[in-house]
Amino acid sequence: MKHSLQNTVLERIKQEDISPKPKWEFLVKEYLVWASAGFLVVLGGVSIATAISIVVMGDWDILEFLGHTPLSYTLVSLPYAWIVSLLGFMFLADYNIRHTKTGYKFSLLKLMAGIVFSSVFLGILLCSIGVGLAVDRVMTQHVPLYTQVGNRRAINLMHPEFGALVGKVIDQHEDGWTVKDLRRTEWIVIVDEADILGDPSSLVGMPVRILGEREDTQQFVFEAFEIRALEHTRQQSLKERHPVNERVRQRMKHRTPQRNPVQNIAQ
Amino acid sequence: MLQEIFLLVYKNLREVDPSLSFSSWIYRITHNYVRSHFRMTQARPQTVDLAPAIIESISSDLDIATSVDQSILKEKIRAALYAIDEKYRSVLILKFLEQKDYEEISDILKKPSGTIGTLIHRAKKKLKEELQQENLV
Repeated sequence: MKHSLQNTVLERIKQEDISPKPKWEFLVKEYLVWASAGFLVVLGGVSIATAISIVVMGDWDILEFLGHTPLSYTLVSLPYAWIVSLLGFMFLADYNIRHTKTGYKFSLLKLMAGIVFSSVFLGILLCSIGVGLAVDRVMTQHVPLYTQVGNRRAINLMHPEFGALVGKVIDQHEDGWTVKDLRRTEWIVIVDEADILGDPSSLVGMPVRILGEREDTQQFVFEAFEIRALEHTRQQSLKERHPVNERVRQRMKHRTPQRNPVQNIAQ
Repeated sequence: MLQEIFLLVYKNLREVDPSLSFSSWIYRITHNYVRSHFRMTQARPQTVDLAPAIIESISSDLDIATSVDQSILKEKIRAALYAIDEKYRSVLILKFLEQKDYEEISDILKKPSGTIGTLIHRAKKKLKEELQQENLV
């Protein structure tokens, strides 16, 4: 029987012209799985870099005017979409590594710890060289709904009734600036006594954060105390970011009394 | 099926990992092939033959009453083995029937050796629960 099996197998090998698959086929497959796992770790790193940039970019310096505590602001501004993406990339990287020749030898804990450590290390590195900001900027410009699910900073900031306005500078003229907000409403922004961070002409076409006071609740006129670019250019890295200055802070405090945003939401 | 497995081994011969033992590699191919074959055909694998030495090994490991007749015991253990989940059955077969150590089982099933330890522990517990229903433990 043993002999018969041996002969049958050998005959089939001859008849069907079966030959061992070349070594390179296995090597290519193995390298591809490792490369895709590496790529997923890099994507995880990019997610972390972008998430860090979004959190750091947040308007922590004016929380008191937005009616937030650090905790409540953290909850509303955390980049959940990036966190979910990160978890997805980590899971896929784990899956890929498990399907390499030696991947099964690692325990879940060790493998996940390795992936998390690599992603975090890479994330911090990429963030420090500005990759997080660049990705956020590209996504904001080209991905629909990104400002709602990816980076909600503009939505969280858009409270003209409490002294904060976000929009793109359309025009700069003698009477003031024309700024189009997220709802495509055009505002006249009076800049006579405003601290403008950076070269004013460079802000045309750029999204800006404006702190100040709404002149009239029926009209879209806003007196600016401070104007700064909403995005951070490569020249102005996260480290160079300055909180709102004391003079603007005092002016914000002495605005015409407004209802607290939290009270407003409750009502 | 054996023919197909030999052909599969021949085709994948250059995949052999020198860090693994050749037998573990063949076991792995066989295990995967048999599993996928029975999954495809929706059939249950043929029962394995339990030699007296294996019955003794399982009995002593699980504190099974030795006074029970060997042929009855063999039948009950076999039935209990096929009543438990396939992942537990595989490790028990490799451990008790094939006498493989943790490292080899880890290489065959492509699972970390720590997981193999846990699986064997749980598998023995499951088998014991099955045998308890037969008042053998």
